[in-house]
Amino acid sequence: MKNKIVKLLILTLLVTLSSCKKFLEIPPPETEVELSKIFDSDQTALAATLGLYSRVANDVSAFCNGSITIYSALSADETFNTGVNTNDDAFRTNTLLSSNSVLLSSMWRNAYLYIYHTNAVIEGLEQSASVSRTVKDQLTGEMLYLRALHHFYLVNLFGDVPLMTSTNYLVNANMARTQASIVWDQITHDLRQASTLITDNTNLDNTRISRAACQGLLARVYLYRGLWKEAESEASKVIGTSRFALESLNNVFLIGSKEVLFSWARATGNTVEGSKFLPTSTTARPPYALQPGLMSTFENGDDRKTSWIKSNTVSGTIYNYPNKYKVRAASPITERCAVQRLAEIYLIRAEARTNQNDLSNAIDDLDMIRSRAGLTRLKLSNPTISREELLKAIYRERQVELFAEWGHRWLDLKRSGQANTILGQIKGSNWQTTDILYPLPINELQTNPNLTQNLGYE
Amino acid sequence: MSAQPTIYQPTKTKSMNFYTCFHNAYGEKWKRICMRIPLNKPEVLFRYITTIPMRTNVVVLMLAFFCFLNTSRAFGQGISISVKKQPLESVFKIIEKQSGYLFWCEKELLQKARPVDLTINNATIEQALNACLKEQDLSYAIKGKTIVIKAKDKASEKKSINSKGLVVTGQVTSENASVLPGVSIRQKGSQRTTVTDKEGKFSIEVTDFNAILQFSYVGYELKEVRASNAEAVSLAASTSKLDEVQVIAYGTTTRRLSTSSISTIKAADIENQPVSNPLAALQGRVPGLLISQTSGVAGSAFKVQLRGQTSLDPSLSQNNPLFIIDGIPFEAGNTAANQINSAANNPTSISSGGLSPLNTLNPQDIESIDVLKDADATSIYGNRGANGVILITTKKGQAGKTNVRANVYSGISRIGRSMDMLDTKEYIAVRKEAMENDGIKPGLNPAVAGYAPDLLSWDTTRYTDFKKLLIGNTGHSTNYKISVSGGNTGTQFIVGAGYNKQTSVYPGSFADNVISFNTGITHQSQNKRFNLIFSANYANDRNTLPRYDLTRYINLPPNLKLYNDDGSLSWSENGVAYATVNNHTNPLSYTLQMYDAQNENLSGSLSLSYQILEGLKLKVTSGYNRFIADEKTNKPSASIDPIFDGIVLPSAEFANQKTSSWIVEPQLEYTLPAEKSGFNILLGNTIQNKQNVGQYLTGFDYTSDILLGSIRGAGRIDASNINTLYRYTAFFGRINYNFANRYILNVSARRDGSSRFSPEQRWANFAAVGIAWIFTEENFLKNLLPLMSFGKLRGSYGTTGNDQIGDYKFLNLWTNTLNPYNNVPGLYPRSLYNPTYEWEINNKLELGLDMGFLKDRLLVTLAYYRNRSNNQLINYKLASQSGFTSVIQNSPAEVENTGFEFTMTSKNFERHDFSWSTSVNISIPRNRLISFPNLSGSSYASRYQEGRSLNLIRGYKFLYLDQQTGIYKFEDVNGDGLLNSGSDYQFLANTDPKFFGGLQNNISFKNFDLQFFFQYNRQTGASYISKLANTVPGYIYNQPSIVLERWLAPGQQSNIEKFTATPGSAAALSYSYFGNSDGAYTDASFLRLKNLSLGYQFKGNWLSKIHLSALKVYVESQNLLTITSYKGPDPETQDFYVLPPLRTVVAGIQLNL
Repeated sequence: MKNKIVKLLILTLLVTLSSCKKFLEIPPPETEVELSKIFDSDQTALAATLGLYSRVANDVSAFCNGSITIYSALSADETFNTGVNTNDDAFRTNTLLSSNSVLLSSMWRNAYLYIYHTNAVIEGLEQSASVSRTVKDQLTGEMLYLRALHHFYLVNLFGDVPLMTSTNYLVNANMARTQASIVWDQITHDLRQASTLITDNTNLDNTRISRAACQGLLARVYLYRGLWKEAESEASKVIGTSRFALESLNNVFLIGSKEVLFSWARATGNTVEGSKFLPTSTTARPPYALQPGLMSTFENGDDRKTSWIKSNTVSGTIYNYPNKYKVRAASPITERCAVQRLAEIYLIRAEARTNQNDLSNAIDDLDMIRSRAGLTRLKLSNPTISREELLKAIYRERQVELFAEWGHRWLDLKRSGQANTILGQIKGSNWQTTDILYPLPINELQTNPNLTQNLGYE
Repeated sequence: MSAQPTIYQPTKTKSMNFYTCFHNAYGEKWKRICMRIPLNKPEVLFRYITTIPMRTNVVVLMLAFFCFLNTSRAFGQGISISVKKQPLESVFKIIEKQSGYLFWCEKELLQKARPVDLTINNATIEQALNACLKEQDLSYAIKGKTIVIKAKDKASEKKSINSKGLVVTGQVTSENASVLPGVSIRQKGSQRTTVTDKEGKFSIEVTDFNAILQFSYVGYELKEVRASNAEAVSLAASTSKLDEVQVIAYGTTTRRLSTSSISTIKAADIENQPVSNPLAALQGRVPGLLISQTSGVAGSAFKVQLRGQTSLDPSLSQNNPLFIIDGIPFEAGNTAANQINSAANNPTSISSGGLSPLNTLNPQDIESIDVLKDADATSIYGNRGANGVILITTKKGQAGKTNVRANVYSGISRIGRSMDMLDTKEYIAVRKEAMENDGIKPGLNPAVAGYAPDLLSWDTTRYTDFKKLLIGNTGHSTNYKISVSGGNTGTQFIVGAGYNKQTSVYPGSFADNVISFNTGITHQSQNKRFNLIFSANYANDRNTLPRYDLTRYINLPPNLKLYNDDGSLSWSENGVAYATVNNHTNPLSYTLQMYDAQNENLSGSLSLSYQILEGLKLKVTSGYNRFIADEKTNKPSASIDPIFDGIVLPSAEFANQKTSSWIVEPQLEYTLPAEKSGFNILLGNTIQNKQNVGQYLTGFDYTSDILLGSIRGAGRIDASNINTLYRYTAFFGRINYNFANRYILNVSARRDGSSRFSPEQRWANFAAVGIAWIFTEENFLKNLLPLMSFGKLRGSYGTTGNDQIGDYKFLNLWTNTLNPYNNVPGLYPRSLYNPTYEWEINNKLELGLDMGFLKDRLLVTLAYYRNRSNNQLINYKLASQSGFTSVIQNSPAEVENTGFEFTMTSKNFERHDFSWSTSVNISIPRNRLISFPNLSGSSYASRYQEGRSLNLIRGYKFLYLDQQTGIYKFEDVNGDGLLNSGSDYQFLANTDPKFFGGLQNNISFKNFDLQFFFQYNRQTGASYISKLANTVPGYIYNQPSIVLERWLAPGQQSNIEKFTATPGSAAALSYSYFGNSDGAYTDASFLRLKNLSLGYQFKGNWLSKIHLSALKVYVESQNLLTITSYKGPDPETQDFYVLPPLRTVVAGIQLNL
């Protein structure tokens, strides 16, 4: 036994005398990767990029995957919640408080979480000497698109928002709100750069960002900024690509749809929209039902009313609900959430052309959508329509084509300046002119003293 | 013990004279050192040996150590001699052979010596020498391995009269005949004093032979002896609490001699509490230590805070103290053991609560718990000591008869204080009144105010008492403990096993089962140079619980239908699904979602020490600790709300985590025993390695419940794993200098390195100094303070650190995403990284006064402390626009905790068959944020305020309930007529305890033994109304009966608003303001009869006839009574949705064979 003690003691002595400094030098954890290693190879750089796709696609309360759709539809005149839920109520009645948890977790925080990821990858690629040029360009372009997409919705929903283009938290954490016009400039810049960096690799399906997807979003951005010529030009680039075509109504949101410019490929189920909008059974109340006003906007004979809307009758009340995405169950996966689709691009070009007084081509674009819905073409029914009437028709078409999708209605009401008149009538005394912007989450105001609150929420 | 030395084999030594054998006995390397020793001068020799450590380096000492080990190989047993009329020289030879000691003696003396008659058996070297020199005019001294024989100084042995006066000489020994050096002797009423020398001998001048001599010595009772009888004085060991052993870092001390702030709780106070977690047994007993129960669930966690909160960021550091069991860090500590959440977690704030790893430590195995508080005590733990250190020492065996001890108890538990809820009739009335108040009618359109399926669609005559159903059952506690201990003077052992089972108060069969085993071996070699302490413990804690704490659901509408006619769980009634009504659910579904955790703790420690030279000890402590948490839970189809049909399929979760740690701590300790002063130096090194490996598997989309146990049966699997490594190393030293047991100085220092910091910031130094002045040892004060038997002033100042920030935080790490994208795995940034953060250092100051009165029958301790923490490592909150909500960095803020602590122990009565003792402790803490540069510009502006506590209540200032409208009124700071959090929030109060402590009484009368312990806490806490902000009375939630005291008519005074059923109504809004106001806080002070135990000890001869040495029966109770004016369920958990602490009563029997 004492021999063992001696050995133990010798061992102890050796360990003691050996360099303690060395002892403390531990390798990085096996379960994680150091940033410096990630941008050493094309493969891991790709993983860092796809990491963001995966996060957004599989996050059920992601800003850019469901949340905008669900909550903007309530804020606008599209849907109402059928259950008792304080958060839903606040959006529906436009009585949002800055303490609303959805605002914080599903919108603001979530958006910036992902914007950080884009900036980290962009910076990593920029500094990398090992990633090949083509991969670098492609991945940088994809990240620029996603950065622009998140900023786009932030600036639309909240107004002035801090613009994040780096990962330096020392600067970012206390940044004040950036003027909306500067944010818009950055969005435009990001998308233009992205559309030059991304080579339109047709091998990729629409679950990755293509050059066309960048052009599509850029067309929308130009439209929102009133840059009609540019909007038309970008829209035409997309429409001119043979990859895309309008699908029949029931196929628009299916995997393989040619109408979709870009969609999220969820690994773990069908779409967030499907799981949130569809009722559990034919006798159950759907969680969100369509407002009567929207129902009456559909013209008679509009196929979308039957293909994209369904109803359940519960306790004698009829509840209409969005049925664009038709699968509620998790598997098998047959549908994907479309971020942007060709129908919108036609409507963008129609609007841009109208504003440039190119009415006849605008009518053609509008008729693409109308005829797909089984409606009479405007070219036949009213070829001499006035510019104002045509614009109205385009907005109404947008309302019924893009309902319950990505807050299109909410943003259209705002950018057309109609929100106050239309929502003021529908929402009654709850509606205030300041409701067109959401409040900044109180939590953020408390952690960043340089942030200011939107009017009406102080 | 009279074991024959059967193993002993005399080694063959060549015949040599006493001079030479000394030289040759050691190895070559040692010889070189020895050769220079002046052997002819024993006094010089002694000094020489003791100075060696100063001159030689560690390597030489180590080698020396091995040499000694070799020479002492055969001498494990005692000395046995049986001789008749033998020359002394040959007896010495026998002793030499048997002991390994060597004699040094002038030949002349040997020749003069008388022949020896001697019979001794298994004796120590001292006993042997005392016996064989009894009749001789010789004395001896042991120097290391050498025994020096000298002639007795005859002159000094006799009382004589010299020119100065009478001189008395003598020797002082303890009761067991060992000599006592350093005993103070003084002639009573005079200034004549002396102290005994190394052999316990003394010589003192006295005025006359009838003078009274007072003998005092630390750890022994004071003795008065007439000078004429002082030739041989034996002192009795002290029974004062001051002399009980206190365990400190790398050693022990006593309350008397300690310079630090340490509180010790002994087994006697722990054993009689029917609890499974040692933390429960500590509640209220240690001043400065605030322990609060997070939940009444068996096995759940306790919040532990020593001397206040220092952390600005409770998410990063909970300010948990360091737990050390038998010298080895208990790595699982006090952080929750579980990865999967269960009923042990707070259902509304999942991050709090959880399962306590310390539940694997059987309180009955604990000998003592020492809580180290100030810098002097904790600085030597370096970076780990910032939040204090709790040293747990397990029981060890005692020499003597083998002792078999068995203890069994059994009893019942029910929930303690809780709130009564409305029955259906009252509930319906509340709902209807609320609608009337709002001027609305109950309807079935959810988009229209007045939606009331509970009144219109659901049966309004049905009544379920959810409190009774969900948490109103009776839990059963059973505990078995058996331990066997014994041994001889050289080796002692203890082995034991325990089993504890507590069933829950939930419906269904849920229980916490802990099986534990403990072993302990202590050994000391015959020559007392080699010491070994080994202990090993194993425990398996299996806890089955529902997935969520069902207390969360006691406020379901009391007419909710639970079962369908076919006996299956009901999820809707008349087409209205519960999930669409305030997200209600069928709570019984969670009893189907079984959570099953198995926590295993294995720990072993071995401490070896060897006395190289007199006073010089080499010690190596090593230990291994492994904590495994293995959990699973599942969600069978019957527990899934059909509203999620097709979306949520049966699923199962499997998680395991293994934390294993080894530690080695070589130490070198040198003690200089001297007549007037004691000097102790400790040098050491710590090397620690901790690995944490774990997995978390979630299986989704099972097609059938029968596959739920298998991860392969899942349709889809999410898997993640962790593997982290933590390394820590340090050098430490401590010098303790004790001058005449009067002035004591303790200095410690440590240099720490931790792998949790980037290489540039890796090392840090910590140091502390403690001083004590035992003023009652001063002669000029002894007469001034006749009632005071002990008085000590002490103070300490020093630094401690903290590296509890998690591993690898200085690296920029990316982690795999949960799911691949298009089948390619993804990566994402885990957190912001900051490579520049440095050590956090805390400064601690302490002043203490320890006093004993009336021969230590009354002991009082007063302490003041001031701990300051700055450069704190925190998860600095960031606006989420930065991408994350926090980053680890050093905070510029400085936090101060100050406080007074008072402890009093009193033996009120001590008679033959009646004794009564009381102990009281009070802590008055104060927490303050001293400074926070640029606080207003930081993310903490809305949370903290300079000069105030960290636990601030910030919100609206509640004014009153408007007697005209029945609505709460709040202060509108900026007078804009609106209430909003930005401009109208104020800092109002804090939730720190004002004071807390405990009161213990032990009374024994004849065979009866009664102990009761009160815990008290004066504090402000959240009332039940704070939980009503979102479940407003009048909504579709049941309410505590107390809401019936609501406002009804103008002019009425009330605490509770009028009912309302409409979200957004003035009354509802004002409820939500109320939840964010100081009105939601109330006095949550309480006095709790924490423990009551009554025992009856059987006595009489009949016990031995049935071979029992002791037999006791007892009843014990925990949380029997709580006195409080708190408006809510339990003032400790302060949460309406959390199971209140249980009230337990058990009866048991304890017997010793």
